[in-house]
This record gives sequence, structure tokens and C-alpha cells, in this order.
Amino acid sequence: MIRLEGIHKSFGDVPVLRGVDLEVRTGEVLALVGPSGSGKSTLLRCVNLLVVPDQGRVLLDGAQVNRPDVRPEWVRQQVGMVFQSFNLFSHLTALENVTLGPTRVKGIARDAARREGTALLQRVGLGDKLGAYPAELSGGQQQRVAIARALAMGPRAMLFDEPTSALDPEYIQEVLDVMTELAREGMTMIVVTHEMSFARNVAQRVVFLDGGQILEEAPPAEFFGAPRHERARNFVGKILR
Amino acid sequence: MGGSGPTGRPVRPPRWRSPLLALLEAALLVAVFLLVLQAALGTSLTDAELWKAFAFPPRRLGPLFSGLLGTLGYLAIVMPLGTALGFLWGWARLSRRRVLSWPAGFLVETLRGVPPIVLVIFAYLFGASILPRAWNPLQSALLLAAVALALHTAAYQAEIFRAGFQSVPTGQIEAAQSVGMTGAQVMARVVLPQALRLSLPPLGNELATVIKDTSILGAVGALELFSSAGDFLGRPGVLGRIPWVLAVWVIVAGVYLAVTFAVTHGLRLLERRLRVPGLEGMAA
Repeated sequence: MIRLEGIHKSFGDVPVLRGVDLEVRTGEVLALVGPSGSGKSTLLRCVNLLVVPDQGRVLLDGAQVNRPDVRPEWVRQQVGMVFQSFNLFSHLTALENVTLGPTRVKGIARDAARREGTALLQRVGLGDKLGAYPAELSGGQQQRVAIARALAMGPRAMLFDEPTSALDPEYIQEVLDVMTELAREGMTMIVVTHEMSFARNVAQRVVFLDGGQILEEAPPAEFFGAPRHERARNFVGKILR
Repeated sequence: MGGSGPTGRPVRPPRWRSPLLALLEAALLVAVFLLVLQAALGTSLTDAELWKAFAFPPRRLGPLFSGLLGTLGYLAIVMPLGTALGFLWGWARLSRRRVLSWPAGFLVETLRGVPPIVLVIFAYLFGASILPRAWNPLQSALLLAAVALALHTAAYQAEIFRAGFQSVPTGQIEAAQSVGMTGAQVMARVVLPQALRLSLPPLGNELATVIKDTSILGAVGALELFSSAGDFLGRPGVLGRIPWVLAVWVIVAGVYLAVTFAVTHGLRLLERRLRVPGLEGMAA
């Protein structure tokens, strides 16, 4: 469903991605791991064109989307994204955060958007926080609102960029639970994460990125049990210690 | 709600005070202050003859009110024009397009570096020398002088708005893009509402400054409060009455204070209306 072919990206003189090929099938959950600075976030942003690759093709359902005649806004409606630092709109309530996209981008009527937004927030366990502003919510609650905000656009796939890394430990599980539920419902997901339990139990495949290249791809049990590449062994050794 | 929010930030309960009570309080304070002044300086604040001559002469506007009207008239030019230009320049300065950011930066830097009185005098003389005779150049040039003052405050306001724009986290802009919003939608729905809220407190500060700066226009002969009071004190029959001098300037100061208070208080009310928890402004 999502396919990246030969992706290169540099920021200035610094190459961040050096020829990445990646495919995600419909309904698949893929964990993207690697040391910091390996290019995971940049790779993720290439999928919804928040970062435009210097070289290579981004394909959605077989059609190339990083072309001048495809609006990046359209691509981003198909692929939702959740960020490490939540990035909720500070001046809007939880419900307004969720309905902004549907009303402004998809042109859905306000009442309908509010109904759907309310349902989504209930689904992530925040039915009692509709009118709360981001500053009044805990990190875990903010991240769940952010997930609802992305889902409100009815995306066909979801990108998660270290969604639990900025959370206090006591809030991590509630966010992982929502993501696990989403995976169980068949959502296609690419998750950049350091949560090895999530990668092991929920992901079908682990992709190890280092130095802007994919060094290893394997089912979680295999990857964490017996990583083949030396740098992957090194990485797994560090995070499991 | 009270105490502290989940993020540890204190959540202040909304405060409501009776406006009437606040007004009474202020009036009382002013009255006490004036009485002290009266006693200490021997000014003629209660001199009916002074009030009659300065404020309420029979069948025409006294110098106090004609001056005040002049000041308000110039403010009606300087404040909207200054804020509109300041907003545009502050926005343009952050543009990736050099043709926008460079001129805005140049204007802001130069205008901030020249004393407003120099700008005003220059604009006046420039206008008086180039405007055609038929336009009554000496009067019309005053408008240019007011525009010059607007440019001066616009330069300061540009920096306020620029800071406001820049305090919107880039992560939120990215998040808005990630739901498919266009650049214009991101600006209108995410950046502007926050940037303007954050700009309000320092904006009040700058408006308070420019209200008082309209007195500079008196230097080129504009009819406004400051020059009007000066003219009054120079009249034959008034000239030399020392107790009146102090009283007149106290009255003038009080009127500037009232105008400034009205504007800054109006902004404060707006600020309170638009208040959102967690977005309390840069300099409260």
C-alpha cells in the first residue's frame, strides 16, 4: 500500500537518507527502529511529504505521489501522523483540535464533525475532556487527542513518530493501548518507537535503520532474538539492557 | 477549578470585578492625589476662572477640548495605520521571499533608529515643500507628519507581531499540515489566532507610548492637547500666572492618562475575553 523506492534526502551537505526502499502492506504494522540520528523521522516524513525526497519515488497504492501534479495536502489526508511532542493546537479545545481538519479540509458540516469528533475522543477514552484545552491535559491525554485528530481525517494509514518518547512513564501504556487497539482493527501503521514491548507484540515486521540506510528487516522475534547485522546486534544489546 | 492543572501550571480562576467599583476606586485615588497636589504646590486646580478659560469658555470649545479632539483625531490615523502596517511588516519580515522580508527589515531597522520628532519634522517640511498650493500645504503636511508617527510606531509593532508569529511552535504548523491543511489555512486557523493573542500585551504597551507621542505633532504646529495647552498659557492675560501653569499641566497629564487608560484597558478586556489556558501571553 505504501512503497518507497530509492529515497535520498540531504539537509544541506548532510545526507540523512541514502537510498531507502520500503514497502508496507495494507493492515501491516511496521516498527521502524534505529539509533537517534539514523533518519527514522525523516523517512517517516517522506511518506506524507512533510519532507520532500531529493531522489526516489513515494507510492500510494501503486501511484507515485511525490510529483508536481499531486497536491501534498491530498497525500496527507490519506496518511495521518502522530508526533513525539503531540503538537496539539494550544488555542483550541480537544474537540476543536479533532474537528479542525474535517471541517476545514474535508468541508464536513460542523455538527457532523463534532459528532464524529466526540465519538473518536470517546474511543480514545477522553469523552469527558471534549472542552479541555491542551494545557489542561496530561501528556498521555494530549497524545490520545492527537491520535483522534489524525483519525478524524479518515486516513488509510497512520505514521507514529516516537509517540511515547516525550511521555512520563505512567502515561505510556494508555497511549500504547490505543495504538494496539488501532492495529487490531486493521490500520496500516508505521511506528518509529523505542518501546520494544510494542514492537515485539504488535508489529509484524521490524525495520532497522542506521546511517540513512536499512540494514535489517525481520519479524520482531527474529530481530530481537538474533539480529544478523552487527550494528543491529549492537543496537538491540543497548536497548534491551 | 482552582489550584494547579495536570501539567503543574497554576490554573487561575476567572476574576470578575464590578466595573463600577473599579471606577469608583480609581476616581477616589485621583481625587486624593489632586488634593495632595493642591496642598503641596498651591496650584489652582479649584480655580473656577481657570476652568472657565481653559475648558469651558462660553459658546465655544475651550483649549482643553479642542486640543483633546485634535489628539483623538490624530490617534484615529496613527493607531490603525500603525497597527496595520506593523502587522504586515512583522509578517513580511518572516517571509521566505526576499522581496518581502528585506524591505520590511530595512524599514523596521531604520525607523526604529530615528527619533520620532525628527521623523515628524522631516515629514512635515517635506510635505509642505512638495504639496501643491491648492491643497493648503501647511495643513495637509500635518497629515504627513501623522503618517510619519504611524510609521514610527509600526516599526515597533512589527517586532511585536514578529515575536508573536515566532512563538507559535513549528510542531503545530507541521501538525496542521499533516491533516492536509494548505499554507493559507495553517496561517489563518493555527498561526494567527495564537500569534495575535501572544501579541496583545506588548501591543498595549506600544499603543500607550504612541498615544503620548502624538504630543510631538505639536512641534510642527498641529492642534492637539499638548500644543493647545502651551498656546493657552502663552495668551495675554494668562502669561505669567504661575499657579495656572502647574494646574494646566496637571490637567493635561490627567487627560493623557485617561486616554491611555481607556485604550490599554480596552485591550486588557479583549485579552481576557480571548484568554485560553496555557496561552497567557509573552509579557503579562
